[in-house]
Amino acid sequence: MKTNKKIAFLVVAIAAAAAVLFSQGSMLIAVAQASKLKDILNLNPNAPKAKAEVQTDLSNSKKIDKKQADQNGESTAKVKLLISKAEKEYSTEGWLHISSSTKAFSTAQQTFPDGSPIPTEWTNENWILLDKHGDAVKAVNVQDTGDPRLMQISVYENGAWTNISLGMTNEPEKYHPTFDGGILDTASAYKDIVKFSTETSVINGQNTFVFTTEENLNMPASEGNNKQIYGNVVKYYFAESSGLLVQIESYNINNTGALEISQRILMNVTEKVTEPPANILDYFTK
Amino acid sequence: MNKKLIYALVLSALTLTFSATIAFAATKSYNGVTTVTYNNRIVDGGSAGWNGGFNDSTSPSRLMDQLGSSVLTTYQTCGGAIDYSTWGSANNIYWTNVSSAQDGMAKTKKACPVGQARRLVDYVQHWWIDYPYTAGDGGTLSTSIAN
Repeated sequence: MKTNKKIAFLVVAIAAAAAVLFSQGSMLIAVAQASKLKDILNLNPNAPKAKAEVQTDLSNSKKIDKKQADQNGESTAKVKLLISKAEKEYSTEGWLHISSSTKAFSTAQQTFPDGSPIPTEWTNENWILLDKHGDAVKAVNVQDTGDPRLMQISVYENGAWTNISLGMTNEPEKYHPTFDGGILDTASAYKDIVKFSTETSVINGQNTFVFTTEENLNMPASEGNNKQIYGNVVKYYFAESSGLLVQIESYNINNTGALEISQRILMNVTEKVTEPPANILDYFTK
Repeated sequence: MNKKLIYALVLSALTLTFSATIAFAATKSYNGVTTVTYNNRIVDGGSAGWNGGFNDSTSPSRLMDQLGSSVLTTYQTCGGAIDYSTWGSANNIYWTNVSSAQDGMAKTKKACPVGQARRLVDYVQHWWIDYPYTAGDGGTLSTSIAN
């Protein structure tokens, strides 16, 4: 009888200990889940903002020749014509909804400061209220990796972006959404070093016009992952029917001159809507 | 008896010295002795890449055996959200017997989804050696609208 009591006491003690350990484990998980994005990234949202001292140094980029410069002009003209279709339809007063999916094939680092892996796939839902000039009055951008701790919600209001998941507000800036994926800015800023070319392709049964930018470096550059990069190529796929971008692919050029894909963005939806869902409108202060 | 007393005194002195050393090491901090000032820089290298960096110094100038460390973080944002694939952070800049420190990070540019503007972000934060390490003297976050 005494032995049985001892065994029963031992079982109860083990069960109690297990319960305590389990509850502590759950608590630890809960605490981990509750940790803020700023802690994961080790960022101080209250750090003073400074206007960046931006310098431009294009000395490591190979220059293009006159023939290529002329070809660039022809390619850019084609893009402008195509984009004008999309702008006429979508850069109008009212709400614009743009949805996309991004897949990164390479990352600058493997982990965040807290040791958690850096995600390589996410979606973006962008809701923008445009005025009659196509300038944004306000906007919400929801970036979702599938991990609630890493979700980012950014709100454009009163002329500035605030990443409310981080508690960080940028300097005020004008926000004028464009439909060219930044091609025209690239064409203007890097006209002496970037080659443009065009071709046609079929993506998901759609006829597309492919606009390619290519930059080659004199000396290879390496990122955190120690891969040597000799240049980059970006392919922009425009639907011929609507003028909308449907896909963007970024590539690194390796030491043999071959292309290695680094990122693909699929544009899922571009549409004019009467109003965003109520949960999106709730992010605005007014 | 006297010998025992001497032993006790020596032992006490050694113990006190040892405790004091530990206490000093535990509380050692140069936070407040000098100020770290930050100077961020972003170098736009074309459509392919860019470089984020900093050049920081102490004011008044101080050479210390361990002043702390500076953490440099660079990334790109699209529509106000961090593109996680561009995230880079380095915590290997320790201030030992130096009054200034600098570092930089080469990065590639990534495209943003349609309708989103790209920004380059360069963030540096000094962490004092106090235990636990504490962020100090501001830190600076610089951003640049990028093509």
